[in-house]
Amino acid sequence: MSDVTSAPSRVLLVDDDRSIQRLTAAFLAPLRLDLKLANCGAEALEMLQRQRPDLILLDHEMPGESGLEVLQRIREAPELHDVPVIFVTGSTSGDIISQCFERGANDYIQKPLRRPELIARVRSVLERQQMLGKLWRAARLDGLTGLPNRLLMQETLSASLEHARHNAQHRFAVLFLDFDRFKLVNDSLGHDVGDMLLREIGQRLRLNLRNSDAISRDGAGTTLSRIGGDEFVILLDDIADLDAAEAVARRLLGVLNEPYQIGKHTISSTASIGVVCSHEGYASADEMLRDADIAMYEAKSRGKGCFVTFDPAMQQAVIERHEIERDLRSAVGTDQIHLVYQPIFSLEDGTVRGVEALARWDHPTKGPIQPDVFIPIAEETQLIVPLGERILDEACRQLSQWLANGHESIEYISVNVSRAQLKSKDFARQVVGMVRRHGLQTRQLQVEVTESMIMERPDAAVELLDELRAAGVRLAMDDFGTGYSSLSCLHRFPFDVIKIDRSFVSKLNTERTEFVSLVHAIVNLAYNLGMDCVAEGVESREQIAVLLTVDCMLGQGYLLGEPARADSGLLERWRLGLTEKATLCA
Amino acid sequence: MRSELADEEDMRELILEFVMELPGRSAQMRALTSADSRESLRAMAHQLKGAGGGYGYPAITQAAARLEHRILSQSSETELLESLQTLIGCCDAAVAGIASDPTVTLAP
Repeated sequence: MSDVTSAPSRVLLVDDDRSIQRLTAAFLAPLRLDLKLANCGAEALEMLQRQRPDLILLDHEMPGESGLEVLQRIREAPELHDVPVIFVTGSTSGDIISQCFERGANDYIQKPLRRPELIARVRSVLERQQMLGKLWRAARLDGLTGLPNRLLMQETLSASLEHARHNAQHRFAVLFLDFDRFKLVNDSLGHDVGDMLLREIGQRLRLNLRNSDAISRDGAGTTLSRIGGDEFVILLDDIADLDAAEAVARRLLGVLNEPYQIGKHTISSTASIGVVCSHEGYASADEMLRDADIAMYEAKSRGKGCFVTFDPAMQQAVIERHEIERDLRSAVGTDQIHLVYQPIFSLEDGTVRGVEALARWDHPTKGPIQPDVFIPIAEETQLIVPLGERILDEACRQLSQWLANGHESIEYISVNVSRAQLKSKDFARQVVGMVRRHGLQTRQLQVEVTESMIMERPDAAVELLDELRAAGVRLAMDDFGTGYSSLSCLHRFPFDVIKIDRSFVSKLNTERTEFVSLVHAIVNLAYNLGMDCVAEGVESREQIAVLLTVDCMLGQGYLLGEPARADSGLLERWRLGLTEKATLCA
Repeated sequence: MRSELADEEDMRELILEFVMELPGRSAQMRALTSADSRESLRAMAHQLKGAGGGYGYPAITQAAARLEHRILSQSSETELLESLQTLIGCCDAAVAGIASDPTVTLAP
């Protein structure tokens, strides 16, 4: 018996009488079963070791062990306890029938066999099995790729751990794989394309792993699963050593790097893989998955497109991260997090045109924590919402105070905003409200966003940026040149300023003409689009000289002024630097 | 005696095979009448009880069941032999039925 999608049902008939074996086979022929025969209990148990059937037809009276004894042994075997058994007996004794049910038979048939009854009972049990199979698959297979899901992976992994506990030589490894640019694909090309990409990734992995047969529970080997989003987990069972697992990881990286043709889109991306080996003495599947996940994140932070094998030290990093997260919660709203200010100078006349506000966190025990550490954590935990609001508020208050103290040459204060703030529908209104509350004009606030932030959801970003621009807020593209689509999409966004990334500025000297030409091209492009340019990371006099030759008139950097707290002497110190700068620029 | 299933196309060959084995079973049972081979005789009767009706010979099942019952209930030697003879008679009748059945072609 089989439905369209599955192989014939496997039925094991255990009976010592060959005339009964022949008769049963003939009666059941219309169900197109894969019928196997055993002549006694011992032979049946031996066959069951090798292959699990969908149903056992078990005769009672046989030489050697009786059907009741065989039934008991089947029910005691962990891997067989739930195989359906139909007990077949020539006995009319109520005693034997009660005993067969007590020992776990699912049904019984009285001999002599009658064809309609035999077919009906066998079909009924197999249909129930198929229904259970469908439920099992629905609960354990990923609907999109048809691969095992997280639950089945956890079960398979638990079974491997259990096996390893009893077999010291048994080694296996888990590969945790994440596609590096999946979110970008989903956000920019839509979920349909994202889904097709996931199917393609699943297919590539399937074709490149041996024995990826995890749906049948009787095969050891490789199990490939999709445990959520773009995360795939591979269990490599029974491997020789870690080298074998790393070789698979290396091979898969190569396979996944090949471009994907999804409809009319060609998508290129790398994947990051975390590898963990069973010999670490894991107690549970979740622990092993957790460490593989940690190793995968480590691969991402080492630049993506690579694999990293788990090391217990990595867990320490995760613990520290958790501590930072915990401490950040109590730090937001206190003066542990404060602002420092860095001037944006005119390179021509040395005057301060604007000031960039930057967040700093002085941790009570860990000391200064850099924004590139705590801002991503604040974003993930949504703490960025209150934090961002506070930064904006404090920056506006500071500019307002400077203006009140007569420093009217400062045209604007510049504030970095986060991804989370950009996603808030209410953001433009909040910003305008904040500026007004401090008695400022909207042109006196500049909002800095990075290219990667807006490229996540370009359409939504354009809408928000247009809204801010319409309200009069200045817009700056930060770290320009570090993304992959800078020049091509610049005209789509309503920026006032682009800030040329320090990686270009640092290479500016009279001997590196290619970078001089590049910066010149960026400046020209910006001017043609009606935007100003600010050179970031200015650290030498030579750089200033080169910047002026390519018409870049604004700059910021340690040479011009380090980020500092807004104490009463700050502006004075900036002003006093003028003389020196005047000589620099000459 | 003709099998109740004799007209079912897919059963003919199976029935023939079953019936061809009956003389052998009868001979084995005749050889198991001594007191110390009762259990073997009972096992053979039990098999025929299970198989006979399935092949369309309810009379074989009935006769085999009676023999099994008499062995289990330790009936007298005479009663037991009488049941065995009835069972063998049924088997012989099945063989005769096949031999005289015009629809059955016996293999050479």
